[in-house]
Amino acid sequence: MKIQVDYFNEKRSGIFLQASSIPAIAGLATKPWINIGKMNNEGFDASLEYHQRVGEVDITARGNFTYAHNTIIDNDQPDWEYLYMNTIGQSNWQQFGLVSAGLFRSQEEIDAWPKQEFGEVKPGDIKYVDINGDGVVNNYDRKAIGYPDVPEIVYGFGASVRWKGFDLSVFFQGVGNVNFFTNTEQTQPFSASKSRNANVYSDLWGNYWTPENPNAKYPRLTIGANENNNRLSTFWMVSGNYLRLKNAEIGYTLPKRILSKAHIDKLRIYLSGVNLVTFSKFKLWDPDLQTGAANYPNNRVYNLGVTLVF
Amino acid sequence: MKKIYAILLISLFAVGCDSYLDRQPDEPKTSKNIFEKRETTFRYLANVYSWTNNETDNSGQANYFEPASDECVCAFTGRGFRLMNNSTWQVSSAVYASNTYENYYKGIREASYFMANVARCPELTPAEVTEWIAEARFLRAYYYFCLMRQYGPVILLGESTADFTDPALRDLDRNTWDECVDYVCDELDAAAFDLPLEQPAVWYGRATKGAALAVKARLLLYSARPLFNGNPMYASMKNVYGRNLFPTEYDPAKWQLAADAAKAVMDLNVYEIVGENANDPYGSWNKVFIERWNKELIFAVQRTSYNWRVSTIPRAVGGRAYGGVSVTQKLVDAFAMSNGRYPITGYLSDGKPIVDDESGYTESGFASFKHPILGQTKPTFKMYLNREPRFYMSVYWSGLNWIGGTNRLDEIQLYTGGNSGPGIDGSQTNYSVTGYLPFKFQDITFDSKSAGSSTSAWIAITWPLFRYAEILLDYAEAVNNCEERVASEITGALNRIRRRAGVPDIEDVYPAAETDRALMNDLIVRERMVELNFENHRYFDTRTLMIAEKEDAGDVYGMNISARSHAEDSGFWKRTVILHDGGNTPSTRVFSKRDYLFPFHQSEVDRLNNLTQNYQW
Repeated sequence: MKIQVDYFNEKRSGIFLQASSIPAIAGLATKPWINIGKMNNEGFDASLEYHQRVGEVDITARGNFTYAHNTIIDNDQPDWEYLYMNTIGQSNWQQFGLVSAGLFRSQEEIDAWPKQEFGEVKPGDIKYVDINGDGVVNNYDRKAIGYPDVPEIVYGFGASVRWKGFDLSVFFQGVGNVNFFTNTEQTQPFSASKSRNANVYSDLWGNYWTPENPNAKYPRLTIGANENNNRLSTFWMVSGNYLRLKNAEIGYTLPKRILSKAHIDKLRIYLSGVNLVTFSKFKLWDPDLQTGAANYPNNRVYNLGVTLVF
Repeated sequence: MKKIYAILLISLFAVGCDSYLDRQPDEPKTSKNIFEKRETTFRYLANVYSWTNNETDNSGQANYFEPASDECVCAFTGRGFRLMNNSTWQVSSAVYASNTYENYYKGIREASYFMANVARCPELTPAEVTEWIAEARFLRAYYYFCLMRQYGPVILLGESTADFTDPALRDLDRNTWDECVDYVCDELDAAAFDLPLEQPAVWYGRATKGAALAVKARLLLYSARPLFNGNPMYASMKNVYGRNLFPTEYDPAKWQLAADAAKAVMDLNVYEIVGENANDPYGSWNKVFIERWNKELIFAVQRTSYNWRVSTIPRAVGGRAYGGVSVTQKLVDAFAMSNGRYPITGYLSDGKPIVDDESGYTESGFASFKHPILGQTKPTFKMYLNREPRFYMSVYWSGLNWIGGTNRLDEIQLYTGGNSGPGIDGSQTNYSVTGYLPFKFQDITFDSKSAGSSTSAWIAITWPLFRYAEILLDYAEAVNNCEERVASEITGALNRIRRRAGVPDIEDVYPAAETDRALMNDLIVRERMVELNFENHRYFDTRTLMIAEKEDAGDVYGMNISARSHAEDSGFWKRTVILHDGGNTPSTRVFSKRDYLFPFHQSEVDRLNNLTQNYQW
């Protein structure tokens, strides 16, 4: 058994980037590039290898695990209007959005709630939290939400077992600390600008908001895009964590004594599969595609084969 | 032997390569050497000119003046004007900030830098140095004017380029409106003193005395109008230095300043109303917009006609033709009848027009009509009959034929399923939302289909940033609001424009206006709307006149393009609320008090510690 763990804490400074703190009244046609950026990157890498023989059974197992989290220390941006909007102090890929408080149930509820300034609001639309408490909900109520869309944790593990002529191997792969948003044309009916892109997930059927279905999973339906609802917010945010059985293979190698009569050196029959099972809280589409719901997903592949060596 | 040849050959190439690679690179252009040569100095001056916004863009890509005004609806979705039209834009949206605010300040910096360095050029005569400095001074003032019409008072940076390494730059706040107006007017006067009266033909478009005085005339007119002249809405706004950003008291003398400034352009005796006495409206008015240059143009920029025409030529014409920028019913209604009376005097709360019975206007039925430009005789909706000539040169409706050089089409159909209308399956995004297209700046001798996709193949148009007809309108409006109001001066200026357009004199049609200041004001605003339609004026007129809360809010009307035909009984020919406005559904426009001026966008607010934001933003 072999275990290796590396911890790293990298502090970079003098990163070459375009000056961002100069006001537009200076009138520079091109803002100067300067060595001013600072960033920290911290995390660890671990790997494990295990080998054992129990009687006639040969077991090998391997695993790896990486965790990395970076933090912007300085990118020459001044403080934003509200400090929670600052990108400094956050991860490079940190996502910002509104915080949802569910769906509006009635006009009275809308009237009592801070005014949402993104467009028309009706019962069945998403209700957002007024983070700064200024009585209106707008882009200033966007804060860092969730993890980046680039996973902070990436891991994989697998094992293979051999017994006489039989062999079996599996490989799992997974990611963690990742979030993405599901507000696409395929989850928001009639929002596609071209009708040929206007297919939607059948999950919407019976799950969109109506006065009779106030606890719906999806907002009300609108003609065209809904400016209030189609925003990055915790309403559409889902965890992109998954664990996937990426590869599995089972095989049988025929004994040599049978083969030698037919002048065959080796004959192995096997069955293998790729992308067999994905374990994820998110069920609508392959979580690996993230927001690209309509993109081509990873294929599931089965192979049945024979290896013949003369 | 072969080997030796090979070595020889290689060494030959090696030598060749060596000498080739040894060449010195062209000397890079640096701040040191750029002003050593006349040619590069001149190029720098061209760069100072280059920060003007592309005003030929009527579809809201870089320029919002048309699709955010009440004379125009643009079908193209996802553009910034959409947020303005339903008042959902925010400080953080930064719509058009890079094309306007940021570019204007870049132009200001380049102008200041040029003025500080042009005298270093040994190849220029002292007279040229003086004139080129005046051009840059004019442009700097023009960029400030562009900022002020959009933001109100702004930060003035003075003579030198801003020192971006100085932290004090981040502490600046806006100057007051009057400081800005005084500064820009003084600069324009100084520039006008050194600028030539006219440019030679090869340099048409470069600054002249008249250009400087014309900018001043419009700025002073805006400054006299209610938005900036003692507007109670802005009365309590103070900058960080404790001064009122906007004048708190109405000053009637500002109208006199505006009148004097317009008069100064008129007194140059350089400009004409083209075809004023020709008695040929169709031959004269349209020429102003199609000719390469004429005596009406004061400050104009020649650009490819691609941006303007590609979005206004109906789709069926072929080639590049997106036909998605359209005329509103309100602009259609604004044109007078041929007898000079305005057919529509207002609207009821349900959107129905209030018709002036004396005008002879009717909206019912069809009659045979020969189009004065396109020449075809067809049964035509009576709404379009007996209108003044500028109507037919400005508005294109469904069912007309199309002439573009040799490319001729018998009928353009703007209804659903028609050759230039919305698609039945909803897949088509290039169509007129109102059932009208603008016809101004179109040239029936130009074949856009064969011009293809190369913008240089689309013949250039000279875009009038300032033309003489506007100066006369500025003058008429200013005089009308002066305490001493000379009616003949007002009607005299208006009638010059009306005679060229083939419309009876104003006092013959509306005699009461000679003594009625309010009525005359309405007529002047109407005349501006008609004469200057689709020239990027209306957006600023409704705002500076503070009529935007009425004019730029509510439902926008067109014809019923949902109909499946434009036959007389098809249902097409009725006033209908548009289905969407640049993708906004509902299409209802919203205008809040904050919308009179642009917000300073968030990234600038973050970088200027003391910047006073505009009202209610």
